[in-house]
Amino acid sequence: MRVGGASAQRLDTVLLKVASRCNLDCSYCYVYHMGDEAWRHQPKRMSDAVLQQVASRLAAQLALQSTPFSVVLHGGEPLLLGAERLDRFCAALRAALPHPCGIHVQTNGALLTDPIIDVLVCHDVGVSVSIDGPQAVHDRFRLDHRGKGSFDRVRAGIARLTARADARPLLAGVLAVIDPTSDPAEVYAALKETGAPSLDVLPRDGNWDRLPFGKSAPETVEYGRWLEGLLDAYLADPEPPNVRLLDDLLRLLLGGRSIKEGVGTTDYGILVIEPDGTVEKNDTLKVAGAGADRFERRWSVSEHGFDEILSSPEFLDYYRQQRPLSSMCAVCPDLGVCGGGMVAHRWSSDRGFDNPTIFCADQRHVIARMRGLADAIQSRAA
Amino acid sequence: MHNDPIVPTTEGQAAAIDVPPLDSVALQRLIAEVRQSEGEGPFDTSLYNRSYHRHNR
Repeated sequence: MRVGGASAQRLDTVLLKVASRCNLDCSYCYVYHMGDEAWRHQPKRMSDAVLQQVASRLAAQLALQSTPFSVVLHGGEPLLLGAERLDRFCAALRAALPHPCGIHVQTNGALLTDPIIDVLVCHDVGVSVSIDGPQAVHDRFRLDHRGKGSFDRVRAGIARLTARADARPLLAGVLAVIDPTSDPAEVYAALKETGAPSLDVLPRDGNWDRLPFGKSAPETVEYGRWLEGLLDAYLADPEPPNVRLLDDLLRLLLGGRSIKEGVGTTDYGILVIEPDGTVEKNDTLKVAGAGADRFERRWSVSEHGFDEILSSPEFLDYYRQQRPLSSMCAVCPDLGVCGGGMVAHRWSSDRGFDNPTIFCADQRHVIARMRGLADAIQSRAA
Repeated sequence: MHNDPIVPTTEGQAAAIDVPPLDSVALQRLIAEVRQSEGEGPFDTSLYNRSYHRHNR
């Protein structure tokens, strides 16, 4: 978050990589299929000893900073921990980070069994599930290691969660990776049908060297048109859930604020802790190339406190990197809304991150449509 | 493959829609939310529980 000059020393979100492996093998995964093989050198699961160090370091950081932060159990697939180890981990984290600090899990949903759900309920762990839409869309890319689609298992996991009155409030949202060849109205309907209060969508990863799936050229707007279709479905819905990306963009155009990284111009202190305790940058930077998410210095919870990491020049450089460098962005009338997009999507081998996002045309397409709505609202109010 | 950054073409600018769905429930909800947050001082970016986490994955 950005509140004055000292803000970079605050932690906002910690991604805790409690498992380096996954029970699924989604072909587009930025962890396993974007050229970074670092996961091979990590323990399969975080140990209890490392977790205790993590909890201790996080508790110390919470005592130092005035604002709470959020920890997201991430992977790989974090539920590969199993119920018993998950229970120990969540108990230690919750003891270190009482409310209002958030503890979340980002899961593919296939391992949401009742014993796992019991643990999540016990420690008040918010749940976000990755599901790409209806079965035909989801099973195109979200496969297991035998090549079988995962939709039925994921949908069953979500159903188990939402069937329980004690667990249903934990479902924070569902997240879909966009297939720009799919029908956005069908995807919207399938995500809404999960019963999640919030939906979100992500473009497929890519950069200026490696175009995202389904995007034929930097200036084309396949993703922009898809998002426009999603917006139409959303605006036509008499009982809409929240749609995080669209809400953020619209809220900014209406004079409000965004809450998600990569939208708007608010900066966030996001760090990743690997299963061996190494502290790294936002893992999405892997999209920019192998090792792009690593600090030059090896920081580890076994040796370093977060205050030392957060006040290091290297962290400050990483933090400031959220603001786009590109001269195109600097003069763009949509910068306050788009924020330059995700840092990873700005990458090119010859200019580094000094580019607009590869989704620039797509974002400007959907923002133009939204700006028309915002202008009409203002005209009506005048 | 390499692509130099280029200025988006006019294809990047969506055509204005004929009848903006201004009465949409989603839009009205957001308008109310933004109005309600006016004058509340610094935005509370730490509303974590029961909301989607910040990380874009």
